[in-house]
Amino acid sequence: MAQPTLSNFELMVMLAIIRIGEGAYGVSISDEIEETTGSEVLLGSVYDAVNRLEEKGQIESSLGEATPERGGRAKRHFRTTTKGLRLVKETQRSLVKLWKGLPQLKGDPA
Amino acid sequence: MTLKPTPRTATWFLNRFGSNTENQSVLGDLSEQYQRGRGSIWYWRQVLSIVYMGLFREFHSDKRRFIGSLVSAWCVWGVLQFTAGMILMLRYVLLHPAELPFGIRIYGFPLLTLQSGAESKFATQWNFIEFALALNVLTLLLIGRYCARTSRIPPGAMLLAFITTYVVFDAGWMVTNILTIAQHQQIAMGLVVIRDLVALPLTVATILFGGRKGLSSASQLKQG
Repeated sequence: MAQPTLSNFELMVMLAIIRIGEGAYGVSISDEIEETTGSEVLLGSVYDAVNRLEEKGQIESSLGEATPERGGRAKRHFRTTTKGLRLVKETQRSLVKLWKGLPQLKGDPA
Repeated sequence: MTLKPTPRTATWFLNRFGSNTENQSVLGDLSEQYQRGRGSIWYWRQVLSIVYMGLFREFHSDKRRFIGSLVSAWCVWGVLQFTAGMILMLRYVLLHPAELPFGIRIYGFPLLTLQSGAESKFATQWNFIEFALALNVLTLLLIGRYCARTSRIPPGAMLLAFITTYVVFDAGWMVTNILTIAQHQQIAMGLVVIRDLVALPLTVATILFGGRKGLSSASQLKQG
């Protein structure tokens, strides 16, 4: 069976969820990615990615509190599953291996 | 706390066509950002991205079924337009049989229209335009109903896919006409473009009205 993989954006979403910790939801995930990458993120792509990740069992979601500024609508909170966390670690290991010893990237700021 | 009302049409659009099962939390996220000072353009962009990414996902989940449903909707549209065109032509010939030798042409897209080769103005008489308009409305309602009732893909996705392709074709047709006007300076064609620009939103609204039952039951299911 093929090893599950994460797309570039899925990896960003997973990392944003891990960084935010408790209470990660659509807006906070997109804010986190925007702050880190400096480019605008469409909420549609965030929802698309979290739906895909949830289907694959990498994250799970639950409905949270409803606030007045949300028009009384509940937040959908996301957290990574053990399976998802393992996949992020594996992806990190693979990427670090790929990065190691590349003369073209030596001396470049990280 | 007084909330700034979010753009109503955009919210309606997301409620009706968003394939996301958690539309309410998505609307909450959008509302929260909107209250923090984001503008209407931002809101619309987010809504369109959410809705169309959902449609793209639906397409990816079963491409064959999706394309098959869309092609069958266009075939049904073709049959409806052909039948309505025949009715229109038959009525015209029965009313003005003397014009038959001059040739009568029927245009099926974007709007069902008849053009007579004779120099008479019968084709542009108001009672005939009314009849053509009624046939147009009927075919649009029927195609909307067909799209919303087709069970192979969700009604919202089907309607959205049909309407989007319709608008794209119509826009292409209008661009072709504008280019023709620019090249040959045909003022009459300019009037046709203006007519279609006005007709396009009404056409979309009529298709949606035709599919309203299927759409509302689908959104009730999603909320349930």
